[in-house]
Amino acid sequence: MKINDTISGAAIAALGLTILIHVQAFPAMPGQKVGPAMFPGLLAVGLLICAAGVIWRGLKTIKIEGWVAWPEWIKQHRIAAGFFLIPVVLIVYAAVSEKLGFLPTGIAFLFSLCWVFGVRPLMAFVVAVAGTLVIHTIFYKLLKVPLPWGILSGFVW
Amino acid sequence: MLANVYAAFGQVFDPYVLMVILFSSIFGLFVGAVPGLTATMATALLVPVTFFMPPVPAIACIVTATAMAIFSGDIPGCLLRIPGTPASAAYTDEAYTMTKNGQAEVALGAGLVFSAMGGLFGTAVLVTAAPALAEIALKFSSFEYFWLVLLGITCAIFIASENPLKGFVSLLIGLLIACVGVGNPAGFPRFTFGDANLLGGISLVPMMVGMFAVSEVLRYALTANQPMLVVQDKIGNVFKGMWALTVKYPLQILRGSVLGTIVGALPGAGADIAAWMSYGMSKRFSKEPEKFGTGHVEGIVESGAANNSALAGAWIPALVFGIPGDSITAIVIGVLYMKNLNPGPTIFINNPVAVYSVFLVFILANLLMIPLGFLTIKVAKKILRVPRNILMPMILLFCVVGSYAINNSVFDVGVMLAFGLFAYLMEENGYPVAPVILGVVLGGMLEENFITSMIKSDGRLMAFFERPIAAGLGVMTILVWLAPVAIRLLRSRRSTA
Repeated sequence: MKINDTISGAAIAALGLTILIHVQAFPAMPGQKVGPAMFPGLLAVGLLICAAGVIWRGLKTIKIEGWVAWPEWIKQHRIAAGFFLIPVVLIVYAAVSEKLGFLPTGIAFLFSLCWVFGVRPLMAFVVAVAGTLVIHTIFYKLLKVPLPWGILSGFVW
Repeated sequence: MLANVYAAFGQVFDPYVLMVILFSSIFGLFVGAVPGLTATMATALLVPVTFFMPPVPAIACIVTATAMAIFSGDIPGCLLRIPGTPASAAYTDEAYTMTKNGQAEVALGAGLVFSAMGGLFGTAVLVTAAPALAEIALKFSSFEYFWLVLLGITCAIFIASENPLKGFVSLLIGLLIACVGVGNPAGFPRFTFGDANLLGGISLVPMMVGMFAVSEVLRYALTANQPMLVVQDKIGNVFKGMWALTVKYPLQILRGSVLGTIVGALPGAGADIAAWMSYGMSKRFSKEPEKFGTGHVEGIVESGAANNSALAGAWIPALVFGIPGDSITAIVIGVLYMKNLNPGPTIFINNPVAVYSVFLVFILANLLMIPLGFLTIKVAKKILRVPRNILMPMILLFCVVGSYAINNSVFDVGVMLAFGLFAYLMEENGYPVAPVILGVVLGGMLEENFITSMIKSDGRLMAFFERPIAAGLGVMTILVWLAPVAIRLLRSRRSTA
């Protein structure tokens, strides 16, 4: 997704301004002229200066580029589905993995992605089970990362 | 010193470390050879694994994997006309043309042999220059460090980004991310919004995994299902004729290695820029520039040496000052801090064995590259056939678990996703990603040295120019800042005259 520089510049300016206002509330270091607000404050001023430049350039190209240019792939449903599924599976993973456990979540995670990228369902399932077990072995057994067992708590191995 | 070198030998030639080196070699060669997986991504994926290792194998793992990946990036460039890593992009067309002319062996052989030579050259410079620089750096105070960091990030913006203005935005965002948490001179919690997860700052590992691996998977999703055609089936003896090339192009090899090491050592510019510059230089100084682009090996010899020497060069400022030379060393610096091997001139005094081990691993990796690279070329066709629609979901799950593993918290999975999407959007809109990481890694150091200097000088800005080296570095930084303005003025004056 190509956003015109005017918009991204405005967003940067808004960020800079918000930070500049926010840091005013930071306390001073006792007996010093400099405090925790100084460094982020300077960076925010820098952002504002850069934002002005970015907006200036964006205004010059706005007639040719338009405000927002949607990419071609958005119309190809399969590709768009693949792209948007990535954040979806990550959010779902973060939300349910602790309760459901790593193994079931991981299998669903891999199966859905493989499938949307065009792997045949049976193959996708085999890959999902094998891949989840391999990653589980590397991290749980070898690196001792406490991956959650969730609903499989009774079958810990 | 000899005792330290001896101890380093003991550390590196330990069976466990050697096994780590072997596995990371294979991993690096594989990642480099698969188009769409970069050496930086290899590093980001390895960090969660190295988290659980002692310091020496952890560093050995990253050094070996990156060296191998930069070489094996040449393979798909040569056979498919798709560079395996951005560092091979400069001479992909040349190598592919050679393959079409039936000279795949020469192109691959040159990539392999001169990668190793360049890597060894860069290592030699690292071994000699780093300790010498550290001697000087020991005398640095907060004023010198402030300017050095500022000069480093300034160079990174002007050399590495096509659009310095957007590069600055990226850098400032990185520096602001570094402000999150209580890790500032005043110990005041900034930008935490009362969330305990943010008190210690945003964890570096999930952020890097997001920016360098998740964003690649997102990009893959858009290019999926592109067929890959391998031109040449059988690959013969790649070492044939390499000695003749060495004798024919000694100057080119040396020039590529020197340029690569220097570009690598400059903050922000890494192997990919080294390869582009070196390919251009090779063409300009060649006796037969008209042959470039028609399947001529000279440019591959020179830039193949350059991209591998850049890897070692990038470690010079990373070890001596804690200033990364490229995005790989930016990640490495994070790893060094996690392992209590804080980079800086004192690392040569406090941890000489670790430093010598890094040197040894570099030499070992570049020597190992020749036999292992040879085997990789032999099985290249199989690697190129690995279905990426299976590989990419696995990489994503690996990223998730790797990010989770650092703090055992799903909060970090969210951080990874947020930065993955953010990096994707940035690159789509021409904001470079590398300066963000540079800013995050250097933010704490820049602020600390700035605030310390301000307190020491009681707020007098002139104090930043009162020590000779600080003054020199300061003037240099300001000159780099003013250079684009001056050039623009000169140009407009010339065009009006």
